[in-house]
Amino acid sequence: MCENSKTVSLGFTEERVPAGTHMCLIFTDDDERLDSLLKFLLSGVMEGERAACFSEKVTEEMIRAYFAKHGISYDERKTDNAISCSPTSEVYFRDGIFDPDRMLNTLSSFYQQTQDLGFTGGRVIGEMTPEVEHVPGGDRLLEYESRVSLMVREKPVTAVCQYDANKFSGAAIMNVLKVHPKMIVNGIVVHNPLFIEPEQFLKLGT
Amino acid sequence: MSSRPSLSAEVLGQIALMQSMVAQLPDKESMLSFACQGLNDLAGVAEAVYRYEIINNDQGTDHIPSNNDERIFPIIRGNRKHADIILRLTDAAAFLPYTPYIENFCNMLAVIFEEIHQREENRRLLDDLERRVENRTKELEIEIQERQKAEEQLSYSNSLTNAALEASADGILIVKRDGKIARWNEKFVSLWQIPGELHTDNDAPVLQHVTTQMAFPEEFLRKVKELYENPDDSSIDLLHLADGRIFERYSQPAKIGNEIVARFWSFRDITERKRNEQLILAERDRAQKYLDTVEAIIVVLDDQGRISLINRKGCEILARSENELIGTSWFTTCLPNNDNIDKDLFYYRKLMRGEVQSKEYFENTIISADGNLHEIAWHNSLLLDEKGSITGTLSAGEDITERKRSEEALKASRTKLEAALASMTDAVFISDESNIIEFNDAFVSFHRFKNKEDCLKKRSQFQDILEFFTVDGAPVQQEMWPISRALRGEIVTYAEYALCRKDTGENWVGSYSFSPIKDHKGMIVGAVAVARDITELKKNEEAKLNLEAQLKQAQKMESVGRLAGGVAHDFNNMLGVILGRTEMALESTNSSDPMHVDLQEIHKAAERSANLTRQLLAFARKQTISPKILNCNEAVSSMLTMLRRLIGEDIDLMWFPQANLWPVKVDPTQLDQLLANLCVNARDAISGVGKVTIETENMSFDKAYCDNHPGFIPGEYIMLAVSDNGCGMDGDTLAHLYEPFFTTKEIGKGTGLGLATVYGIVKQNNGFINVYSEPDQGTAFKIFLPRYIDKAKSIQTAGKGQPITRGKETILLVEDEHTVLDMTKAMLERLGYRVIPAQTPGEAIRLAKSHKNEIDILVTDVVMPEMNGRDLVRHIAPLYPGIKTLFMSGYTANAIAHHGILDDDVQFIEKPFSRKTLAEKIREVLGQSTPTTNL
Repeated sequence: MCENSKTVSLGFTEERVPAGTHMCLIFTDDDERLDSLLKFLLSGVMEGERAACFSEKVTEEMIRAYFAKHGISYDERKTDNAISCSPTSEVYFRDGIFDPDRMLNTLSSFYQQTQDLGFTGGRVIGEMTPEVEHVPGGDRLLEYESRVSLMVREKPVTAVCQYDANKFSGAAIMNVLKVHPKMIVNGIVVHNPLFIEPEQFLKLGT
Repeated sequence: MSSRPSLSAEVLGQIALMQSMVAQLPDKESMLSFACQGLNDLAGVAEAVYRYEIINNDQGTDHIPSNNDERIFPIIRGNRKHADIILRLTDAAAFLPYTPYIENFCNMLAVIFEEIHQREENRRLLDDLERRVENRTKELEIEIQERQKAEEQLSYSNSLTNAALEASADGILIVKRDGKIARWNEKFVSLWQIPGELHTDNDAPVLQHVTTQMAFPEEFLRKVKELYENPDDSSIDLLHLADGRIFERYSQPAKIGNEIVARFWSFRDITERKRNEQLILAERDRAQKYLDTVEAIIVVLDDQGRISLINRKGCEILARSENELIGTSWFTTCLPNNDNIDKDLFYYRKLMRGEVQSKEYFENTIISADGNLHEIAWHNSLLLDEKGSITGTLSAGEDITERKRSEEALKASRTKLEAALASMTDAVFISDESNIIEFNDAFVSFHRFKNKEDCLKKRSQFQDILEFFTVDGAPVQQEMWPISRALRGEIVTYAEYALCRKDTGENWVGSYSFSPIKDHKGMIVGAVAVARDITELKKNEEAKLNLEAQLKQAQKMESVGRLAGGVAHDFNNMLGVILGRTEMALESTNSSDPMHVDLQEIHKAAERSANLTRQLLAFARKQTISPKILNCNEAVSSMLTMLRRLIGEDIDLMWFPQANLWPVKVDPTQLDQLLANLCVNARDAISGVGKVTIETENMSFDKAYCDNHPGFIPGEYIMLAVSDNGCGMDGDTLAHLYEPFFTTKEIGKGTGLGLATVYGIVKQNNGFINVYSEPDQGTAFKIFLPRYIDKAKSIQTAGKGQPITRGKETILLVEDEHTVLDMTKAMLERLGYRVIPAQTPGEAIRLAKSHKNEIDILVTDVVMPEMNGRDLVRHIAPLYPGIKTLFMSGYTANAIAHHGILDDDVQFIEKPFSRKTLAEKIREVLGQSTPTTNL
């Protein structure tokens, strides 16, 4: 992890976390998930960061309405490239495959553009769907997550990965925990004792 | 716990996190897989798996013992085991410190699982309870609905009963066994005028009230008493009331199950009905009287076919009384005893059952008691009761026996007439005053209709038929048409008309005869016409007339030709002598001698005379000719210069030869004669400036063409046409055109032999000639000469004979005309030949036999008294093998050449001949390599 003294607000907790924190949110309640997602995006925009959302269930209309409640124009921010919203399937499963390298490049480019455009930082919140277990390359999900942990050391994009405990098996959830250094439990960012450092995890994998 | 190795804070954190996270998972399966996936990573653990099964054991759960390779952690709560987590170990010692934490973890899972289990159990029980409540609720709803329905039905049934009771036209009273009134309806009250104070359940005052209204109260009470005493009895009877009304009473016991509980009384006022019945009976009597006056059989049969009514006329025809007939079966009594009775009866029964339709009209035969048969025409109708059920039939029959006999006779007569008409080939049609009422097939074909239907379509009147035709080229004047005349009484025995269908343009000729048709009073009621198609007959007559005219013409031409030919032949011989002697006299006299000029004029006149006789012979087809195969185009072309000179410079000569013209076989000199004569005539027909056209063409005529073109003969021909735009000819001139000495030219300008010669030449060459001419329109002569088809022969082109030479050979000269013999002998001797003259064939044979030296050539006349030239040759030739022969003749009609045409290998010289011609011909014959062998 790079030495990064900058902390960012996640919106759904008062605690600030270092920029470039890679964390997972295991949820069983959709409202909880949506609440934390919207707050994460809003706080990022309000702190001058560039935010991106990858979700099948969250629409621009929902974000627009949420932002409007807080006096923020979603469309203006979108025009400023401060926020974007895309379906998970278009980002993660473009062309019907899951390609970790392509995703990492996407994240890397996102970070670079964030810098180039003068934003104070970048944050991404993505909802993984069980479809990943059925598309080509889906068996490389954990490799991807582990490599994200490596990448954010150099390119500190604050990332929240959402997993629905109702849709993934318990074993899959356990594996997800192993590749996220932080996890959000009951709205609190906690250290994940089950996390396996990427260098070790990737070695185990190979 | 203290004796065991302690775990690091990190590991403890991991376990704590697992404990924390596992509770968030939605189901047991997910929790177990989550746990095992986490336990996989513990030290000393090779694999963590789970076995998920719920075991309820009141005696306590069975624990599967663990060993060093495997640790089994049951998830148990109370007596219920939910699952086992099985850890397969690689290092039991390393794992040992985890054991209590895993046990705690499993205990925690057991609590969670038990809660889930209880929750599921509660939910199941709740669901079961809800389901049972729901089912029971539904059952109750159904029970309530059914009860409501039963109550409604009962209520409805009661209402219906009341309604039925009140709706009844009868007055109804129900009296219970104990004498109490159970029920009555309003009709009962009104019928019996029950006062209000009697509206109780007491029967006695009501009975008394009713009894007082009866005409015969004792009888009424007796019957009531009798019925009450016999509860099972039923009755129906009439009640006569004192006020004149009549009620029909009906009574029967009312039962519930088998128990009699009351008596049912029903009263109906039938006063009106009874009155109507009486009226009907009266009406019936009156109707019977009417029926008896009708001159038709009126019979009513009941549904069994029995006679229930028959009138006087019926009885009269059947020769039976009404009493005899009423009630008896119509079918067995009145129909002849034949096989159809059963069938008729069967049909009648079906009719009564409504299974077949009634026949409104039919005819049949009935039989009277005395055995006479009667043909009856029936009109029938079904009899129905008030319900509409069939009860019988009403039939009115007319005796048509006499009429049928007349009709049969008429029909037979008509059949004969139709057969006669059909067999006739003449068109026959019969008309009344305006309509065609009968016609035969020949009529249809005569008028060129497709069939009878086509003829009848909108053409029912003869005027309509006439509109389809023109007659003699004009619309038909209907009033003048013979049928109109026949309708006015005129008999037209024969009329002939040329008809033409306006629509198709078809023409034909018909002969008609028409007669009026009169009735027995002599009044004209129509007309009959007979027509016959005489088109062919007319054509044949016309053709016959044409043939007769042609025959006459041919006979005339033949006789004229025979006469001319005979005269010309003898005259020709004389001319030969004159010419020969004149030539010799000219040779003997000096040109300065005054006699020499006279001799020359004599010679010229003789030559002109010879030309005339040659033309006469040509006309008579006795001109001796030498046909050659030639191309007509070449022959005409070679003559054009001469012809142009002939017709003069004011007249244009046009020449249109057809390419690839077929060859013909004809004497070239005859062709020259044809062209010269026709061109001279054309020239003479043109006064001043004009045009003469000569053309040739290949033409073929088949039989069909020739049938329609008199004078044409089937075959292939070349046509040589000479036409002019001169004055043309009228019909009279055309009729005499080819007669010799017929001319329209001024005296001295024409001999009248030109076209006669042309005619003769054409006929001699098996051709034919047609002329087309109109006054002031010009004339065209078309000569058709047969195509020559023997390709082996080469076409003769223009050429002249061999040069004149003298000779010294010996000639046997035979000629019956002594002047010709002497003249010819003199000519030959002057040419250097030795001549043995003979005046008869016999003398010639004798001289030939006695002659000691060679005879080189026989020169002989053809027609001689003893034998002809050909036979003479047959005698001479054997005596002198190698002898040559030259025939001489004015004509060759029957002797040398068949039909005047020389055989190719026969040498011939036409009389009269010049010395020069004779010299050339003698040399030509002597120069031949082959001697005479036969003819």
